[in-house]
Amino acid sequence: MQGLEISHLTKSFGVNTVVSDVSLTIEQGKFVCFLGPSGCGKTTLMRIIAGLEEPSSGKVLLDGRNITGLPTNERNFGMVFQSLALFPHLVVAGNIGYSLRYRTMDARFKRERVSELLKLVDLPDMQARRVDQLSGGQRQRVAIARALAQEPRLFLMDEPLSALDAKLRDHMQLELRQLQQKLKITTIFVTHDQREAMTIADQIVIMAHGKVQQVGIPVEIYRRPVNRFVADFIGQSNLIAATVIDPGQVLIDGRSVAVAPAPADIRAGQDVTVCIRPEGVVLSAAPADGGTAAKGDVSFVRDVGSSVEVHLAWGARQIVASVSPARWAELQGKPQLVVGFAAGAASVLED
Amino acid sequence: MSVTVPSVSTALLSEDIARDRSLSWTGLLWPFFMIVAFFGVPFFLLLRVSFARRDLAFYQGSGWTTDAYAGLIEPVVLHGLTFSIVLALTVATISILIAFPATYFIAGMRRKTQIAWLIGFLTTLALSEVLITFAWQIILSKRVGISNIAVFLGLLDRPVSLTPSFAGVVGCLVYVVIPFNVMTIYPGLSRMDRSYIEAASTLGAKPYQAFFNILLPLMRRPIATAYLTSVVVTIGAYVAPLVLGGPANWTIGVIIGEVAVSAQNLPQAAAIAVLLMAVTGALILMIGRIGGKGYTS
Repeated sequence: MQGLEISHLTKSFGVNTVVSDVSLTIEQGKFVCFLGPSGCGKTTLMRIIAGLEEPSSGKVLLDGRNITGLPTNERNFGMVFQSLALFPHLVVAGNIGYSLRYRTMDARFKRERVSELLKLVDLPDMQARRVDQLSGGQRQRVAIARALAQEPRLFLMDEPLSALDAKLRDHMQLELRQLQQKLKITTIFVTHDQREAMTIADQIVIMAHGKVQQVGIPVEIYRRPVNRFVADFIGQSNLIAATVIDPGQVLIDGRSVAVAPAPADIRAGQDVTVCIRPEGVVLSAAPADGGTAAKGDVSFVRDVGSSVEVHLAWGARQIVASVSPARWAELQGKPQLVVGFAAGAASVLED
Repeated sequence: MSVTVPSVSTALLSEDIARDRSLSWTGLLWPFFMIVAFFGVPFFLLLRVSFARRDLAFYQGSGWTTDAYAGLIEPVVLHGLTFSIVLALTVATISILIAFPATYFIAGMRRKTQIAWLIGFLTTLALSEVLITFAWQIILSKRVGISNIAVFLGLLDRPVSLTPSFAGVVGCLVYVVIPFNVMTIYPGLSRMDRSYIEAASTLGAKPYQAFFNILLPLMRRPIATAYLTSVVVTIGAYVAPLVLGGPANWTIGVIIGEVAVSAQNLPQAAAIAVLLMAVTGALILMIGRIGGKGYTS
């Protein structure tokens, strides 16, 4: 298989199991994000892939070859560290060209390669600058160029943007994504910022407590979280207790609601939790005669600009709905609204 | 109005600075006084005596002359000085070669283990140079010294005395300076971000290449400081060369002592001491230059 394969990887420090039985496949050329709260094992997993940490058990395979015991310096993986780790005693050119020291190639060719990379990261003619003369964004770019100089087989980044301010960060995310698409290099990016992961990645690996919780494309992770942790960690969600009728339907407060096809091992009559994103909640005006529809009392409204967030007390629970400003203009001022769910918007969680 | 406001505020600011300055000046008075009393005055006296004429009636000499400085070209002085410099550089080089790798491994250990090692090194600082020297004299002696172990292992036929010898002097002084080296290098090494070395390895550097290309240059300053400390401590060594070495291993310190006490020529001893200070100062400047400004990560 082309790409990176991780099989039953476990890492313990003493009694602490930091990475626990992780298996993953990362296809050639993909941009993958390891996303999770701090301490979830995402950085350790990346360090094992880089060879900076030895796994307690399990294997790492690259293009089908077992590289588990291979020393870091023989892996040819470019890595951008959280601290960047630019060498302060070398100028920009010395930093970027560091990996070329260990290649037998013409000195002139090395110089050309460095200036090529500087152009790539949009810092032309910065060769002679000292590292401490650079701004935060420039240091970032130098670190990226340094990691790419060796034409790595895998590009690893450990929260490289966490030190930048919000605006520069957005900009760098976009640039990184474009750079990766241009170079078609398999990339792993570690972050705890879900927005960053959603905007940058082809594929997201959500981790918690050393375990992989869900793997999927961003939109799928958002719409179809598999468990309570993912539903809670990614975006806002309404978690509602329900009873299964059949794999496509659940019962909430005595009303049947259509859900996305549930996991196969779910039985009719089982109590489950259903996740509905705020966009999946449909609000409408209560009919004049009162009717029998499920009504909620509006408790709090927050206008975020692009949408309006409506908090309602619905039965004994609080739920959040997100409606467009145009729709809100029609509903505004009504103390009670009918709560419904968009078709297929609800999904059953594993636990 | 809008023009006067900034000028008022800068006036206030400079007044503040002036007050701060006067405050720091009064704060510096005490250390200034101490330096003058305990370094300035003795040095001035030393300088004065070095320009005095040798006078049997006054131990410190009398009158004015540069005879003592003319006496500096005596072979015994030049030999002693050269020997001291060679000894200091030898000891500093050997001790840094031991202390740097040792400190590197200590800095990589668990916190508690690190502290245990550092305390171990620190306790040897509690021993005076005199005590260490006599301990080494016993270790190198014929009757109970290490040559007996060599005999036991069949490496030697009968025990021998390993003093007086250059190696004995060097060994003892290396033992004296190593804790200083560890204490000087440790803060820099333990504060250094280990991801520099990791970054080098992801860029294809073998461990020894990362050591020479990254670690050593980054640690240039602490290494130079440690080296300098060893040189300064060793160049004035007195007890170890006297006890463990023969006349061939007499340092400039021993010679100063001989000239001052045995030959009763204090002006000459003072002049040699001034020369030693000048040479040490030059070495400090040189090694400091090599050490550079250092890096903060």
